[in-house]
Amino acid sequence: MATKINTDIWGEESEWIDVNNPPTLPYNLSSYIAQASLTGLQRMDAKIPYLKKATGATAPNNEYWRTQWRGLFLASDAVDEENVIEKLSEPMSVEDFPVVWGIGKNSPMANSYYVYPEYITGSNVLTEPAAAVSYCYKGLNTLYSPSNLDGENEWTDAKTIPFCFTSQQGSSNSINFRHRNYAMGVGQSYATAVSGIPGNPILSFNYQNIVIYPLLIIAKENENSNYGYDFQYGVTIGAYFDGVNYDPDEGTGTPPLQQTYPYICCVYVGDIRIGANDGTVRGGNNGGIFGGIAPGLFDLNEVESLEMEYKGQVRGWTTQLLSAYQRRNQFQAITKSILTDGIISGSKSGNTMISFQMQSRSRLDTPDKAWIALTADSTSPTLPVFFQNSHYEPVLRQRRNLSNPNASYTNYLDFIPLWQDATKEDVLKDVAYLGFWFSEDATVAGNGATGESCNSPLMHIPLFDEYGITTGEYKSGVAASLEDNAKWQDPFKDNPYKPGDGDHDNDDNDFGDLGNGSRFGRFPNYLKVWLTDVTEFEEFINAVNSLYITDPDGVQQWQIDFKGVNPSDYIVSAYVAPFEIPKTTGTFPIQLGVVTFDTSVVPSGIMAYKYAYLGTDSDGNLAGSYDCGSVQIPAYYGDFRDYAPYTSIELYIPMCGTVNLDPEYFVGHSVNVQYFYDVYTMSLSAGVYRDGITLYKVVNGVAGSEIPLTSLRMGDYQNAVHNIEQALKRNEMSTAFGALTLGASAAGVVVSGGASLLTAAGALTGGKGILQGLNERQDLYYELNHKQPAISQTSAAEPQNNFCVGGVYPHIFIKRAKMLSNYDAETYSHTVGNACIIQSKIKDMSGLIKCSNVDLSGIPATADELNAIQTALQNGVYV
Amino acid sequence: MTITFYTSTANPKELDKSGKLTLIGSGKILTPTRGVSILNPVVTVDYSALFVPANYAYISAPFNRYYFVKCAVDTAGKIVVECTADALYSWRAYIKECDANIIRAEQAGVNYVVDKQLPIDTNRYFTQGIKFDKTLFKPNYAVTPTYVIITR
Repeated sequence: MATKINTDIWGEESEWIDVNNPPTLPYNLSSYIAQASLTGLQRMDAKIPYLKKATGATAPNNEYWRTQWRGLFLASDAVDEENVIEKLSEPMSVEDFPVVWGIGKNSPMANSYYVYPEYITGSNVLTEPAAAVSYCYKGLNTLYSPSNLDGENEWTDAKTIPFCFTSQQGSSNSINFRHRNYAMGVGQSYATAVSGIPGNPILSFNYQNIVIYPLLIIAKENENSNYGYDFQYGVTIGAYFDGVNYDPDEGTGTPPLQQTYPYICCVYVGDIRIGANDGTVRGGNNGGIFGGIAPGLFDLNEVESLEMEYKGQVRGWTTQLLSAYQRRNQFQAITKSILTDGIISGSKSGNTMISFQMQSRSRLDTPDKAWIALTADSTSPTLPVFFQNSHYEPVLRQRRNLSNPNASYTNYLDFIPLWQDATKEDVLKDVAYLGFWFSEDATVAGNGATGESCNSPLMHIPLFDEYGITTGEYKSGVAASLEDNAKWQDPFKDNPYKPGDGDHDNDDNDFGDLGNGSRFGRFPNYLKVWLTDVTEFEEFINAVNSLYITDPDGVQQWQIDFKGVNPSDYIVSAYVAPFEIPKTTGTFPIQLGVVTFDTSVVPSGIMAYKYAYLGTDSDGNLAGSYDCGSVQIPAYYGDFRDYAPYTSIELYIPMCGTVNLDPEYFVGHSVNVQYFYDVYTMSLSAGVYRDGITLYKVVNGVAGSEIPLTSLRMGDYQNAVHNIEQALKRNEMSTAFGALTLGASAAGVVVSGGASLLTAAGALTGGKGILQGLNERQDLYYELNHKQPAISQTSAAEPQNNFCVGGVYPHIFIKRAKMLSNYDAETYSHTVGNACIIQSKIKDMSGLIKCSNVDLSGIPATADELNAIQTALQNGVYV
Repeated sequence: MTITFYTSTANPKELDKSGKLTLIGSGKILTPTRGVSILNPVVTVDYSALFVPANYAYISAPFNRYYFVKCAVDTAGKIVVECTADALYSWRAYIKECDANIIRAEQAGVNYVVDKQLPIDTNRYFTQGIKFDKTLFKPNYAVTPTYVIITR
């Protein structure tokens, strides 16, 4: 079905190409359509890459990797989806991004690319339901673009917007992306296409309803010795349908010109080359200036069914994504996060700054230097961007000899000025509708791609309204850098009326700076946390228990080290945590009181990690929190049934249990869970946040098991030994003194020659004392030799709820009420009517209405009739 | 006064019945023998077989109203028409201009206003699970637990 549209270009109506009967010359339109259709943004949860190396005889050229993707796409080795997403998660949430599918020469996905057969053959797959074409997508609502065809930004206007890219396996160390020589899966260059072989890589797109997917280029230094990743010629998005020859010279030219209808203007994405050495975007041969976008294409089936006002005044679009990108600080922060904190080293922030170079082209330009000229990579200094309602339309010209149709001919593109009286401001305003940063200066645009000329007066930043819609207005230079773009509002999420939200005017969640509770305070210096594995742990405990027993010099060493204190008394607690607590880099000898368990104490030297933090907070500071990410609580019905009591939401948090979430508070919003861990007490708290900002609840749990730990009371043992030794010394001294006294008494008896009872008695007593002293000494020796250190329990296992009974991932469980099976929405609406609260004139309604109150003044009817009218309106009237 | 007969297929609750009235014909109302109500008149017209199946009528000035009608034939061979005024259609132009507080509307669809008449099965539910992407605890013991020693 071909739909007529009035282009006003030629003063007559033009036609859309009939996709079911596409023209065959000079190109195979069906192949273009196939590509467009293939790339429908059908949402799919399966995480599959969809690229595959084209091999075999059926592939047009197995030298190349033919890919199609959208959104962010390029990653170097060791980058996988999770990795990239994590990189994107700060400071913006991943919901702000479309899917990130990394491909790369050494990417984990490198061997699982896929090429659709249609992609190779160029067959028309329009007959295949779009929904049947599965493509990767992750992220939230960014796959739809709220359009404003009718000037209202309604969710129901959202359309799927497909597009596609191709890629080429480049040189040995790089991946090249080229737009025309090898694009669209046909693998034919423009030159070849000129000869009549299908495969010109140009697609058309509808200017309205377009989704911009930023092309986030994750480069790696030295991937290519010259350019790093080499995005040659960028990607051509949009262009024209052709097939209807048109000869503006009416056969009078020499040679006569054949020209095609220019249906659609084009956006051309210029070169981008990321330098290997300094990580900056390089100009390439074409003055590459672009950080990368991937404008989407409207589903051609839908395009055909719409009455498109080609030159109408409905303009201005954006996406949530794009709007986010306009917040330059965040964008730069993301870039910086990826390029400096991620795996990419050497690259500089700002590599992916969106920027446009806008360059009008004149038909007076040398044709072979015009856009799409084959020699553009070496001779054309600039690349144009064309816009609808703007100034130039690209037209394909063929220069051929009509008297000899079989003779060779050349194609080139020319540009017809459409808006003769357009001023420069008109032009800039039109560009501003696109929503990208742009500049009319190639150098500024190029530098803008590196984020280095944001303040140039030639750098323009479009402004958005409160709905994230471009307005055509823009700020320039320094003024732009200070301009805060409006934030995107989701027409669903931000619906002005939802139960439970109350009066929006009273919504005020701005508490000011509440400080950051996720950050631990400084630990006391005398407490130290050591992280070990099980082997190290056992070794440490053994050392504490046996060090001073097995070591012959242990007693003396203990006296020096611990001075009578039990070593185990320095152990505050010991437990095992069921997760990996982040560690410091490097290991350290464990300190126990004043003793460091290095090799001077323990020959093996027990090394352990020190306690670090669970993560970083929003300011980038180390924090004791772990962010589990966010999930969106979607509305299902889009009405009151999404709320209590018809819907209930339960959040399970491993180790912490479950918590009910108020649907009124969370439907249409995201739930964010962050763990906070107290490494001293094993206390695990989970903060539940709405939209990652507002704390909703705190759920407490425990994560860790105390290790039953017994240790020798080495301090008590050594004290006892010391006391025995002291007693022995005293005993030795006293018995020696007794023996000395006994000897003196006996000598006195001998010298006096007579017995003295008293003296004899004293001698007897002294001898008895010696014997007692000797006996006590024997006891002390026995005690010393048999003294054992007592065993005490340092810590014990306490009953704790240390289980992830619901799995290790937090998850949401939503329970929604069902409708009775015989419910028919249409019949119900027509016969019962849907509950509502609408104040309106009756003439503005349609179908069945029931009124609670109505003002019947002004009707010259009788009182009985007025009563009848009121009763009828209360009971239901079909308007 | 004349009465114009129609066959109506409209729902009596329809405000605008114009598209569902089929004109049958008109007859002159015979002089009434007693008083005639403007809202529930009973009038007599000369017999015509065409008029008998009529279920709707318009009586001209000074009544200027539309009526739901029932026709009967009296012993004199006249058609006796019992009429009940259709205030909705008679005053539709005025009614359309009225401001109203509408509490049920077909065009509103199910929305955020709670509709307790909606046939919701509160005994049956369907469920949806959404998993977070990240967790502190790795599945299947994939991570070696950390042994923690706190010393002083």
